[in-house]
Amino acid sequence: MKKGKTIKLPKEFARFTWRNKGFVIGLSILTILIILAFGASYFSPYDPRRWNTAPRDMPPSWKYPLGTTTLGQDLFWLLTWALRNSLAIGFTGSLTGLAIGALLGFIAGYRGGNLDRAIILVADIFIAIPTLMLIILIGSIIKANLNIGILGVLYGILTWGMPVRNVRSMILSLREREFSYIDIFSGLSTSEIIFRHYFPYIFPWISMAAINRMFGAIGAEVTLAIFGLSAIDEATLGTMLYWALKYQALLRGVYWWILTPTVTLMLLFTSLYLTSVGLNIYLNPRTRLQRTIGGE
Amino acid sequence: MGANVEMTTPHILEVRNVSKVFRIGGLIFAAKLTAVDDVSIALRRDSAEIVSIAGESGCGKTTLCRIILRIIEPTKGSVFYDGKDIFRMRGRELRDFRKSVQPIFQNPYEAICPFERVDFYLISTALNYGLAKSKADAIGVVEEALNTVGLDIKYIQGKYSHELSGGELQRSLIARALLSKPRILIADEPVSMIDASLRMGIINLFLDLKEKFNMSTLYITHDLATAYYVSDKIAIMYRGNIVEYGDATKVLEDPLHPYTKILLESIPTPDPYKKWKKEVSLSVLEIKEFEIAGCKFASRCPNAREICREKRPPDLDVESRRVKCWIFADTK
Amino acid sequence: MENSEITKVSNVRAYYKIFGGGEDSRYVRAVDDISFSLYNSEILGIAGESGCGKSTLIKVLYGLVDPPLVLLNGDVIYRIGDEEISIRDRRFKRKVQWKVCSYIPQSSMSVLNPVMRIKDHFFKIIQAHFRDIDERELYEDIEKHVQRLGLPVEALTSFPHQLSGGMRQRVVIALATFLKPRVILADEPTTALDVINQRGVLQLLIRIQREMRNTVVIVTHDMGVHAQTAQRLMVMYAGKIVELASTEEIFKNSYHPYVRILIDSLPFIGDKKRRPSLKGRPPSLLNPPSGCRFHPRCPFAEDACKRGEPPLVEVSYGHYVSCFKWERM
Repeated sequence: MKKGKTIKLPKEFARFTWRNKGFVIGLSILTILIILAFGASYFSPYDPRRWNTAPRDMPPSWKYPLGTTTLGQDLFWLLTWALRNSLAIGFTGSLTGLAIGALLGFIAGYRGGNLDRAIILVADIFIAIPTLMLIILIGSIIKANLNIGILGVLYGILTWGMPVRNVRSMILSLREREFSYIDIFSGLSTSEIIFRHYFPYIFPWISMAAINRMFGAIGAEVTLAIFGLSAIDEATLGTMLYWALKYQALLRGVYWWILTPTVTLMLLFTSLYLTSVGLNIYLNPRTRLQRTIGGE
Repeated sequence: MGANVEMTTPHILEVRNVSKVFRIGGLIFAAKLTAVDDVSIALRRDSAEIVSIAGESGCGKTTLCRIILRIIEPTKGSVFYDGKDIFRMRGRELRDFRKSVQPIFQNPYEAICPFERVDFYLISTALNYGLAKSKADAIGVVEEALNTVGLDIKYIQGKYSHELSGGELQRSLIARALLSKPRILIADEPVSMIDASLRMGIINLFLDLKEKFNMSTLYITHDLATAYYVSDKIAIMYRGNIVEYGDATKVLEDPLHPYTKILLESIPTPDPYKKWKKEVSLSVLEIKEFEIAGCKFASRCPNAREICREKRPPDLDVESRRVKCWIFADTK
Repeated sequence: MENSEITKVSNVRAYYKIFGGGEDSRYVRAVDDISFSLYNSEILGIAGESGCGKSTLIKVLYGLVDPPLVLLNGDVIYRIGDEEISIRDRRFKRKVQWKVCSYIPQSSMSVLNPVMRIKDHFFKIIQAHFRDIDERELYEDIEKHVQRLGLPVEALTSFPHQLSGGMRQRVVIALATFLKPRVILADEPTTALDVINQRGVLQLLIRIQREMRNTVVIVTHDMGVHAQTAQRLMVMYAGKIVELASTEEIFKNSYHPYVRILIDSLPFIGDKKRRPSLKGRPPSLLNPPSGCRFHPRCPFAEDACKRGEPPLVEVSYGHYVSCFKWERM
């Protein structure tokens, strides 16, 4: 699947990063968080979820870099596991919904007719369903069984509606452009048209959507966990908050316990946002074409 | 109408009573816009000719062009290529139709994907229509086509659309259209986005293609001077109707329909010794557009009569051309 | 017959500053060392194709030099009575724009506010330039003015979208001429109009010039429009003037190869003979060709043309050409 590359990538990318420092900062923080989550977490000397593996209520020190909780858990290693799980939920929720939605959106937009109308009808129903409420409802029923995997997939299943509409409308507008007609008169096959020519327009949206949907997925997880409606024995950023609130960490002065997940969530969302915005500037077809034409 | 005509007709392309009505607006308060109104036009089979469809913007010529290219479906009427209804074509027949009738659009930068190399389009067309079996052969065929339009393949190779000038890109796209050796080229305002000094180079191409390769062209334009230069026959369109249709030289040197006359008078002749004499009357200038019964030009026509405002004028054969005007009904 | 100079353009260099992605800023050399004069009571046409710099020149004439456009060099000086004001002068905007010199852009909607009625447009302009005006008297004057231009009085109480394109352009001309300016600058005033409305608008401009005896500058790439309207014609190429003469001279007796080919390539009804065409591609204003800007496409180019820029010389009375080989023509 070859795309037409318009300029030498590394040089242009370097120029881009110089002028978009926000993107660099965001990407760096995100990278650190991902390394913690999917790298460091496997080196934990013990299962950080287990209570009393460390002295209780210890403020941050050399031995325990982020301190310990009232339940006797090492906050640093707990954080790495929590990050891993929260990010896993984020990726799963975002990508499953996106995959289903984008695929159906392609089909609906390109084929049109009754198939299109049917897909849109179902998609609209799903869009109308209040996602968070339904998840809370399901959570309150199955509580501890709402583990990480199920939560991610559930979120994806409930939110595939909007991607369908978005991808479909992009395809519809691309079909009306004159190059689509010339593609047909040049004898190009449907897959050539979609993957060679439509892809550069749709891919930026898809990557943006993938990142943006993570807000929703992780947000849903945190919301559920804070109310104790998900598997609270799992380690996620949300469950950390649940336990910290339950044991009144703030009132009792165990600041490091409540601040760790809070600050981490803030860093996570901010870095996601900066990365997403920077990525959009880089990939957006309009600015991309302007860059290449202006830079000659 | 619309039955497949199996016998050989004298026309290679025939547009028969085609109309296109658009519904604009929502579910309840929709308005109807008649973009193309009962248009009939034909291209001869036995000899190549260049037929112009000329009119101001909004007259329906682009919609008509899209119908002929089978991009839009007409509300009424049919289009026949080689005797067969194009809207009933599928599979093989459709592929042959697209091989034989190729488009050239107004804006060359919009006509191809800006993320794609220009030579990809040319080579793909050559391979997809079976004009070459391998990429190496295709390159040879493409080189020939590019030479026909005055370009060097070494210059075009590897370039993207934004790296070529408007004139060069349009020529490349004409080369692309030529590869499958089409019977008919459908050119929708092919030079209006190109510098005036370069236009002739491209317009002369259409004349060369007619002489050397027996290629007919349906040339859509708003520029009557260019239409005069390049075409054999011309159809003047106004608000979806063809108001005058006949030999280009006769229609443009000696117009019959009042609209054609006013149009010709309004063209700024590029000759300072032939300046406009009288001022154009204000009644001829439009205040607002409406859907009306009767002749669409009646509200601006200096020769309008009662009947013009009430009934749609018929197509009359006058002086070897077709005119849509009540004035000529008396002479019959 | 008084044909005194009203505007003097001297050695104007107006470039667009662009940043090529982190590199040092580069310039698009839209107007590159241009000098000429505007006289009272004439219609001057400025012709040229894409990338010649004519739109930028008109903006400079109007004093519209805002970033990224920079006036690197030169000046434009207007002579009003005994006073001389340059576009670099801080008072230029207030004293000259719209009063002495008005500007008609290509699109009427760049001037007209879609949520204001036409009469309010007039009021706004007057109030910006004068105080203490009797509104009723003013309205009568406005009515008379628009009627003289062929507009119905109903147009005044309408919103812009209620009028057709041709009507809107006439409204813009009415606005631009109400304060009886000495100079009217029109940038492609009819390009967006259909041919019939184009004739109406152009004839209006000609009539206004005849009645007000002022100066009208029409910028367009359409040579037909120039043939019908301009008395003097200036042809630009790649930011420079290549020829400046009376319209008749340009069309029948031009000396510059570019102008010659341009004129010869124009089709018109009555003659079907084959016409020539220019070759090559339009010049880049970012990296213009060395020496004479036209040399890459000129059939008569020689070594000298590559090395040096030809000066603008007067080859006969009022006829200026910038070409080393003009005698050959």
